[in-house]
Amino acid sequence: MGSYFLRRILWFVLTLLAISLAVFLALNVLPGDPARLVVGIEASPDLYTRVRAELGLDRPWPVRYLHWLGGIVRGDLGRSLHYRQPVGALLGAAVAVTFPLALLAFLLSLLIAFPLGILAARRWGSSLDAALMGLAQVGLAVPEFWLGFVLVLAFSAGLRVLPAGWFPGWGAGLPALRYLVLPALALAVPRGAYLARMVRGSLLTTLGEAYVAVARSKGLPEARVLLVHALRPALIPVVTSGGLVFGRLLAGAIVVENLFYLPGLGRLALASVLARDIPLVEGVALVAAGSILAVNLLADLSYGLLDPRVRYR
Amino acid sequence: MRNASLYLGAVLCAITVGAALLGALWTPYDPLRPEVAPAYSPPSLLHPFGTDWFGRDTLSRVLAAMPVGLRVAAVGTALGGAVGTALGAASGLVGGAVGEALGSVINLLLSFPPVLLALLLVTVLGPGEGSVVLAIGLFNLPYFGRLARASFLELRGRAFVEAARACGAGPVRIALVHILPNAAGPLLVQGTSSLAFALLSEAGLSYLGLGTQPPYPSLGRMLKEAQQYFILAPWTAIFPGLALVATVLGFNLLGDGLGARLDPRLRRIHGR
Repeated sequence: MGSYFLRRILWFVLTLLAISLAVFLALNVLPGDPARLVVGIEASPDLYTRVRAELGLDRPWPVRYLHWLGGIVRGDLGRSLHYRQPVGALLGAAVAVTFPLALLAFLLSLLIAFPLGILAARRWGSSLDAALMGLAQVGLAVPEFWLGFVLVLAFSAGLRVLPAGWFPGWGAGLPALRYLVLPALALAVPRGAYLARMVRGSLLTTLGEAYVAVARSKGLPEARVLLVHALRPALIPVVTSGGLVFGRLLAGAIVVENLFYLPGLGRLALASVLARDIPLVEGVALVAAGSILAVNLLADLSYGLLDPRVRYR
Repeated sequence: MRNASLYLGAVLCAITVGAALLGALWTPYDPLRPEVAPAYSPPSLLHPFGTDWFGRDTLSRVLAAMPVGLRVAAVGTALGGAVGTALGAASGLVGGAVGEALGSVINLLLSFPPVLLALLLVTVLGPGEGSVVLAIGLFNLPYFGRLARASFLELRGRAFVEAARACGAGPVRIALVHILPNAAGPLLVQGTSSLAFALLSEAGLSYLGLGTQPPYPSLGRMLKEAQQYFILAPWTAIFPGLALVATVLGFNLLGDGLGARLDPRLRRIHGR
């Protein structure tokens, strides 16, 4: 068990290294000249040379990569060319918005997924099942930028119950959380619909297992059979997909954050790309990929808790 | 109704793909021409979807945008599907350390969020259709790769593959003629749902201004533009939105229906 954990953590570090190399190479080596990319075609030769030196482009790329990597190990991700601030500080401020948003969106999508999925599986083949799964299909097909916009119209412009369109910052305390409700809901609907289908499908598989029949024949109440004996092992594929969903949420909701003007990782990602701010793009990509990998690691490690038959080797 | 998803999906796909084909050949008005009617004309017989703030015909713009989105999504998905399947198949057939390594490379791509992958490509290659096609291909690649790898790992030891090998068939022939047809079902199902997700991604990227560039219409950017004037002219948003949702819903339902049809295990467990 211990060696399994160690191997997984080593694998996590290796994957992150591979990703950092891929991102670095894509932005620094592949086509063209990053300095030219930063300053644009019309820039003066003066500016061009200065930016080239600032990016350290006079050195060969393996040296630059190792230098960058060495900085990351010391907690220094470089300086943003556009904001003129340390990349680490910018990322920290963005994560402070994206993390609570992702958590809220994920909790809401679970609140959608479990009741819907369990109800549909319980009434499998009924018209209720068909209606719920039809609803889930629609939820999957509606683009989140459109859903977000409709939510703003209804709850913010119409009913005036929830604010939207900016973020006051955590200096405002807990009430700032209200600004995250609508974007979280826009994110939660398609993800909840996806996970609801997963819960239903997985539950239908375990409901056909012998141990469920045994539990039923022991005379256990149906709710207990469904929620304890069938649901727990059914959670494994749900945790896998849920892990991917949550990891991607943590990586920043680029479209929704931009729609709601939330200063999170997604907005930083778009801003850094539009400004061709290479150190910042690299930092955002690294944090995004790191979050996804970390959540997947946690999901993998949780299987043993869900199904006693799972053994780590 | 035995497989409502399949039939409903097929009908929706036929309508939306038909509309896209029509839009590629003919639109009632020039989708780029301003002032075919006063700006913000509500839907009428001459302009069933109304006009936008340039007085451009919304129906013509929706019809012209649909083939663009569908083309980007389809080419991207096909690219990711072909490369992913080839890599997954190779990794499954070769096996051993090389196969494992190839499988890990495929999994590596999964740790990039789709939109971020697209953003990185846009940084490197510039905005436009090509970057979006590549991005869609890249983030779909691992799903096909994993599926193909699993199928090829499972099938390569089967008797019919042994028989083909004994008859002197080479590895490429075994992969293409003997194994691939047996693995095609799940790949096809993945392809339809990937296409649906690709359509949404294309719309999202165009919404952010990174996809199809103006003045050429795209559903994502039409929705973005319509948001500013939604109260004044809701039809400029409702119709492009419906076109997008109907197409995505159609392909998702089709994928679902195909999956239920092709997976005999599912049918055996759950009867009908």
